[in-house]
Amino acid sequence: MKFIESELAYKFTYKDIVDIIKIIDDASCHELQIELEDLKLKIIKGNKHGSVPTATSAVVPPVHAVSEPQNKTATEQPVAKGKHKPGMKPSHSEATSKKKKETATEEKIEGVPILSPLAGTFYCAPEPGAKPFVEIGARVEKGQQVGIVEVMKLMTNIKAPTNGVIREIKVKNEETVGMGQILMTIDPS
Amino acid sequence: MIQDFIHGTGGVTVTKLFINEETFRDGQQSLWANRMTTESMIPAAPMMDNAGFDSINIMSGSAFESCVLYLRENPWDRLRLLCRLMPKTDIQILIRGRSAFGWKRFPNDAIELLITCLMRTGIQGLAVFDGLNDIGNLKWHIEVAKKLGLQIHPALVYTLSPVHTDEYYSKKARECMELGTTSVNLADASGLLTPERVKTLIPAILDAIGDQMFSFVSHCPAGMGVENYCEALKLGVRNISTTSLPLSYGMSLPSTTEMVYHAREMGIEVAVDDDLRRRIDDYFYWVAYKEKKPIGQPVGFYKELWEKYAAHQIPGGMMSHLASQLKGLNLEHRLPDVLVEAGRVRQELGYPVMVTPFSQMVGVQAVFNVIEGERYKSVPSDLVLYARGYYGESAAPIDQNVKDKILEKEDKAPINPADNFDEPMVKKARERLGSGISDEELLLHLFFSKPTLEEYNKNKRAIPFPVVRTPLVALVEELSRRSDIKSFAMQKGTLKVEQVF
Repeated sequence: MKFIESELAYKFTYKDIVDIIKIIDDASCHELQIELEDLKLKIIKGNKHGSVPTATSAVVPPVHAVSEPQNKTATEQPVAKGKHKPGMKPSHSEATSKKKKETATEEKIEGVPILSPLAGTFYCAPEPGAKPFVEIGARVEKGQQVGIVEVMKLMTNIKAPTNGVIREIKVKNEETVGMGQILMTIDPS
Repeated sequence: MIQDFIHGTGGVTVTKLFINEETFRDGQQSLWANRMTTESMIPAAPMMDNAGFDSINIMSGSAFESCVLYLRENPWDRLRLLCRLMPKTDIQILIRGRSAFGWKRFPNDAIELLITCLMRTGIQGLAVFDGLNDIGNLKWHIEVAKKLGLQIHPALVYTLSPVHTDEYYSKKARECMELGTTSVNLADASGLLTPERVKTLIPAILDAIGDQMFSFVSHCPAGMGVENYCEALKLGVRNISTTSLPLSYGMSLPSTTEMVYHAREMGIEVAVDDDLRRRIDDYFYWVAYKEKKPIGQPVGFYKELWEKYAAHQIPGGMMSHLASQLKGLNLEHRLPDVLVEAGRVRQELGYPVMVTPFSQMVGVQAVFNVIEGERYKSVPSDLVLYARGYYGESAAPIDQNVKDKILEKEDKAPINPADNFDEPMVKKARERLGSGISDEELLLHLFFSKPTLEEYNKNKRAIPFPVVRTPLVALVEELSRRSDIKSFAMQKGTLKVEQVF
């Protein structure tokens, strides 16, 4: 782009330092010298304990990098990129979501299930604090609203597929639900 | 075709380019999902105020929402602060028609209270648009703004469809003008407009509005924003909206820097201060780095991509959301089907412009239709309301078979979109919340749910006053923070720094 080239050439800009920082952060060398107009910069890399940097030192905490055998670090690297450190147990939410999935597939369903049409947030009542649409034991008619699933702020009314009595409500208010997840079951009558 | 006079200041012949600066509004909304903090805006505000822009747009409904939901800062405080820091330039705010800063459709009293509160923060102008280009939805805003002495800039949203013809837009532009607005704006929100269409569309609108001030906004996702502006400049248009360089291109607007260059090449006078413009551009590179936000990248025009995009018109932000929804269901491979279906749903619904809330309606319905294997089996309740006329008049009639299917098990009675306009919502809210509540707080209660506001009140932080560092000091500070740097030595002029850790 012709118009940009001369634009940011005034002396020592924020853009210059963002570029310099990027060069320094990406550099895997030991020593780095940068000169820009009248700026001279000399950097010696290596962590504060004095060891020479490796390509991974920026990602993996130093303690792990030193104490763990090379091959183990390598296999665990995909994990290290995530939120938790290598060697940690799966996070709580991961464990519970896994458990949720298992129970959802293994459990036998009694009665007629009411399914969520899409992944979203389930609401049991028309507005926060209001009385829920239905409770366990409530008699419902086919087509009667029993809940709401919200996707991208669009509310989709969940309706009873058949006449009957609500046998079980399997999700909590404001719970995130998946497509096809069973929200409730009905004993048809 | 060159106009006989130059449009820009109501028919007065001027050669000057008028620029509406959009970094705080459109730029960060298009590229940073409205996550720029007020703290990051403050140092740029005085520079912007002195740079010679004709207006600066500082907030929209979704930025207001982002303040409350994510940044946990008081949006009213942001408005007051920015207005105080930019006393020389006209400050604008964008309002999304009847849904204003919220989601549902608000009655007259709520709209009036909002505009009044916005005026009290110190703004000079309102930009307004309606996703259906139903001017009836904007009449009240225009009336209130005029009553309060605010400038009012209605925008017609551009979209591509068999019914969105040049005649359609000229008729709508004339409707706006007849309401006595400050200007009429054409907003190419999705970047679908091409220079070819600009050549017929803009002259048609200019013919319809005569001496009325006209302004033009075009986005860059299809790579046409800059060319559209250049074409418009050739046609005599003199009011455009731009952003600082790091927050331009991609889903955003053309940059001020590039448009200033092109305008000068065409012999158009530009009053923008070049030194400040560079400093503003440069400052936002630093903000992008500090806040770990992307820099807008120009994209080229590719006919096939443009045609695909034109067929469904799903906005970029929503596309990623749809893809992640489908991924969560292990149905990523159905995305192409969903996009084809979205095009069909949009047609059946009478070609709504793909902006909030219509883009969500079309997108979500397309997903329902594809994954349920039966079209319109599940229908979001907002779409039921749309089919009953609640949101206003669609550009084309809704396909009757589809309408029948949507309303199959629903109340079929049409809803007059003006039905709730006279509802005393503010009065009722004041009774519910107590008379001691301030107008600004009351509006927060109208726009947000109780749990959202409880979260917000629990977590909200005062806007910190930023410490501004020169680039050099910022560099030293960044280097000292690095754990993988053992020592550094720096020399600049007479300044020498040596640090060993």
